[in-house]
Amino acid sequence: MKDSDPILLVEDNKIDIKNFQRACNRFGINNPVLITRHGEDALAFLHRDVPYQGAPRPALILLDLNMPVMNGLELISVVKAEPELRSIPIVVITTSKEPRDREECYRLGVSGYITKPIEFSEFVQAVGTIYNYWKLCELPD
Amino acid sequence: MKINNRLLIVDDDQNIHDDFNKILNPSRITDLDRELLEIEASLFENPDQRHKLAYKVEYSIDHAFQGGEALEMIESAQNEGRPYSLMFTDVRIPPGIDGITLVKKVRVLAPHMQVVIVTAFSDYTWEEITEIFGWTDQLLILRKPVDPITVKQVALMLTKKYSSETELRNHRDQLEGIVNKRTEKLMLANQRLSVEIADRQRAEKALQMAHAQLAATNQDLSFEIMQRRQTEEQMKVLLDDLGTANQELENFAYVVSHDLKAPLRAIHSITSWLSEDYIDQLGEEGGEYINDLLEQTRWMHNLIEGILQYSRLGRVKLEMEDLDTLTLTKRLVDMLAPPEGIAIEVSHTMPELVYDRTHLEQVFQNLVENAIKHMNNPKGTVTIACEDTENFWKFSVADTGVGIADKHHERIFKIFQTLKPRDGSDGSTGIGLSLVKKIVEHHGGTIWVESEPGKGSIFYFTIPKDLKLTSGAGGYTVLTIDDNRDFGDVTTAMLKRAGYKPLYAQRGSEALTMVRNHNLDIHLVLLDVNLPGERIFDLYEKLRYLDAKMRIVACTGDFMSEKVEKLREMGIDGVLAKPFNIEELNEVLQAGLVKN
Repeated sequence: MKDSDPILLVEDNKIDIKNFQRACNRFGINNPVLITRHGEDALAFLHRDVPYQGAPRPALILLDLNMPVMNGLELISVVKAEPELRSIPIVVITTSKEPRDREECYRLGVSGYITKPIEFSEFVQAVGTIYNYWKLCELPD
Repeated sequence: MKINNRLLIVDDDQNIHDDFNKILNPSRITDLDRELLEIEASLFENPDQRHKLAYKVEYSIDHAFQGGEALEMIESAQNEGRPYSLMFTDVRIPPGIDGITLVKKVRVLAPHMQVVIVTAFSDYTWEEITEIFGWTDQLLILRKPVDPITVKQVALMLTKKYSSETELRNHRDQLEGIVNKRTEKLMLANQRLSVEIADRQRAEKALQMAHAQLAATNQDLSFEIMQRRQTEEQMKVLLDDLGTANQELENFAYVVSHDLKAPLRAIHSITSWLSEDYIDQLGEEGGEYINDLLEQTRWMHNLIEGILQYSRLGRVKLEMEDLDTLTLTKRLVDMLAPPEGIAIEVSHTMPELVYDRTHLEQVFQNLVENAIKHMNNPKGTVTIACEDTENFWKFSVADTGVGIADKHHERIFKIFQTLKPRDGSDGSTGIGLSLVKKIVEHHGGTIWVESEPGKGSIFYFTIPKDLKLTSGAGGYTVLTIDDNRDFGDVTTAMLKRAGYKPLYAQRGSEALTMVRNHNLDIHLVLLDVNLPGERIFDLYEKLRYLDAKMRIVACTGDFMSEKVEKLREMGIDGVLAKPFNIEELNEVLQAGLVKN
């Protein structure tokens, strides 16, 4: 993943968005971070529907599970069924510790599943680790 | 017939008495007798008969000269039981009562005695006498002078008549006696019968009452049964309601807890930002408050996680699978990463058993974490072991920590009960042990603690040995036939994971041998369509022939091949496309197994 590759964050909680932005600042992450607030919003972005005409294709999707309108699991199953979008890696960052959610996510083909730690410092650490990993990875064009 | 020959002659004249004696009791055969016999002989042709008759009758004759005397004699004779059968009386027998008066009295005194009144015309006329006595067959009137033969005949006839009558009377009396006795007996029997009938009627009445009571009781019973049924139905409804309520409560707990997580995290995050960005302006006290705030949110976070775990028990469907407790506990120990100085030892006696993996992990995790937390000593040992009792596995988690006083041994298993102040300072939520207890009991086990302050604690819990694998897979035996051994291994692992009993055969002949062995009881065959060197249709037919009830599912990389098409025509129970995951495998197997 290059520094210029955009990252799509799908998150409905504004505090978690701020948390993420703080973590990015902490690690000097300069990639453009695009934010959508639920699954349907994210799908519109990926499909470049209104109001996201001409939106760039993200190199990485960071996804919450519990969201309004369309939840994370639904979004994953749609994305993974589309040949155009299937290759974008998805990392789930959620509060859910339900084994059912975790298993279903991996079955649908996510690249990672992380439960949001309560400690801010641990969350920052997690974001840093994810970033560093994907920065290292070479992604399909 | 015995003739009563006792005669009484009443007359005031001795000569008359003598005449009667001579006529009636001749000591020798007199001329008179002979004359009488002559007459008899002319009447009866048989001379022997004549003699018999003539000499058979001998009279015992008593004599009275006065009426009063006669009455006395009659009375005493009767009293002695030898009554007179016949009385001859004169009318005129002075002094005292005359013959007619005597007869009147005799009729009262001895009504059956035969009476002959011997009288002259001058005294009473025949009409007068009959007027006095009326017509009676017991009274004969002879006119004086009396012919001796008449006397003899009369005496003979009347004594005979008396005797006949007496005998008849006796006979009648006897008969009457018998009849009376019979009647009496009959009456007695009747009485008894009446008593018996009364008894029977009483019994019948009692029976009727008992019947009525029984009917009433029956009705009561029916009513009670109906009521009980209603109560049971009500109870069922209530239980259903309760179940629903419980379910709702658990769902509620889940949803609420889950939704509480986000704002709590937000509070925690914001507090962290405050601490990071403004620590200089907060001062020492402000910094302390921030730390307290973070501690409290952490604690609340733990509580929420605890409640979520607790509610998960009723929410999430069990997945009972074969587990190796040694591997499971060792992995857990690695994950927990105990602090330096605390050793966790796992005994080698850990068995394989059937349980829900998440549940067993939660049980061990909570018990081991508790042991570490309450060690109160930088050094210590936690020992996990298992003992094989008859029907249960008895696990123990022992520590060398502070121990627990007797009085707390029950309390610690109750939700939200801790032995330390509940202010979040040590992170205890009071949920862990109650969760463990809920899990253990949910699977039919028990949990208890043996501990003394200062001597460490041993937590014991049991797991029944007869827990079943999750139904659906239901312990069905599945035979995989595939020439690729690696594929066989992968499929076998998948089948085991899904709760089936897996078998593997590399060749058709091997598979046929296994199917012939009925001890294996194979429910389903997973048949590779492209077995090299096998005539697949023959193999299919043979498998079908060996066990008609067994299901056969084709396994192929080419879903649309002619072979598959032909197998479909031959009635194969399902087709599974390679490669497949555990869900797809399970789905096809389940469809095949439930197929008629």
